[in-house]
Amino acid sequence: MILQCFCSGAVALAVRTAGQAANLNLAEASFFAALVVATAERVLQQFQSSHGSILSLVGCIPMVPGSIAARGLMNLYALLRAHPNEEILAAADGMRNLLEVTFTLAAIGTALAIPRLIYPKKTPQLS
Amino acid sequence: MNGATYLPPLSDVARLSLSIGRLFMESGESGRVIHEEISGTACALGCGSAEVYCQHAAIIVTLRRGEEFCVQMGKVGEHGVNLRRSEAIRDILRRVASGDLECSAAQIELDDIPHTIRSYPVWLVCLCTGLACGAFGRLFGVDWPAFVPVVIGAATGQWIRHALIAWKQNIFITAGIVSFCSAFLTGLGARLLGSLHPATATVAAVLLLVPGVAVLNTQMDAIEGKPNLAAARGLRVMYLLVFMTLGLVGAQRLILPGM
Repeated sequence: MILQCFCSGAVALAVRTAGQAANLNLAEASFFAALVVATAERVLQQFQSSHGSILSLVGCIPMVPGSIAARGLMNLYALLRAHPNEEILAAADGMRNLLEVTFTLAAIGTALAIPRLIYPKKTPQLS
Repeated sequence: MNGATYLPPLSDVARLSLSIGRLFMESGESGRVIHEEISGTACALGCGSAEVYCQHAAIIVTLRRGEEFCVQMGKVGEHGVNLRRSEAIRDILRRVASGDLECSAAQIELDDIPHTIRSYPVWLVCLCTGLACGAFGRLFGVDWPAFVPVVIGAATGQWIRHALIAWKQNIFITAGIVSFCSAFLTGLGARLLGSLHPATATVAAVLLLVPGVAVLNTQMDAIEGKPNLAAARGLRVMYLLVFMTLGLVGAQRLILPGM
């Protein structure tokens, strides 16, 4: 199980890195990385035991931009004690970071959801 | 057990459904998974339909079987992440679905899960957390002199978090304290070892507090039509990040002059 989680995270980061190397921004690269992992999980679900749906989630955890979120909040805190001529810079940095976090998270969430919506897990027939 | 020969009382199935939902929620599963698993189990136990309403702190289940129906609500404890526990629950549900396990026996096994599923040793969790934060630090461009302080700071922070959670302290206060301690230790070590990136090192050391699974579950719940649960999860994530940042900023201002 640990090996599968390791592989899931490694594939996600590899695809994201390749995407960024191809001049995609963070949100776009994260979207494709999450989509690859989630699609692979859905396609291979018949070969998995019981832990299918969580593997893509685990793989995407390293892509959650926690440090950017922290920097965004720190920039907003810095805004409170910035000199008048630095206020716009701090505000712009903070907003840019938080927007980047928002778009990246939305991209990852959307990419994770797409394979599940297109190819849902078989649900039992209610009598 | 076969639904054609014996059907457990709806109240027992509802209680089992609430236990499934509570344990899944506390183990870090999304609302969709909880809905699917409860519906599948209720169907296997002879119910005609099962409606599940997941809130952040409670779950409501409505089961129908012919003219009979049952509505029950149960509370949910602190949300966490535990993949082993999720697997154990799924294993039980698979046996219920295949008819190998009765409703009452499944309830007993589910009630035992918090006691029977072992966690990893604390020292191993702390060590791995420290190494993960150190690796993230290197990916951020932190130099080697700051690597060991990041590992030590993050590992110590994880140990403090484990201790505070065991004492049932508020999770947001815990996040602030852990963030401050990790960043302070890392910043101090990085400065003593002559690192050129002490500020980035302190950021790397608090990444253990980023609630990755909760963030992704928020996205999934929002997209999959559970906005209430998503909003509650999102608010909690935001507060965690705010407290994490407060601790980080406090430590940086204390240990890194000019920040």
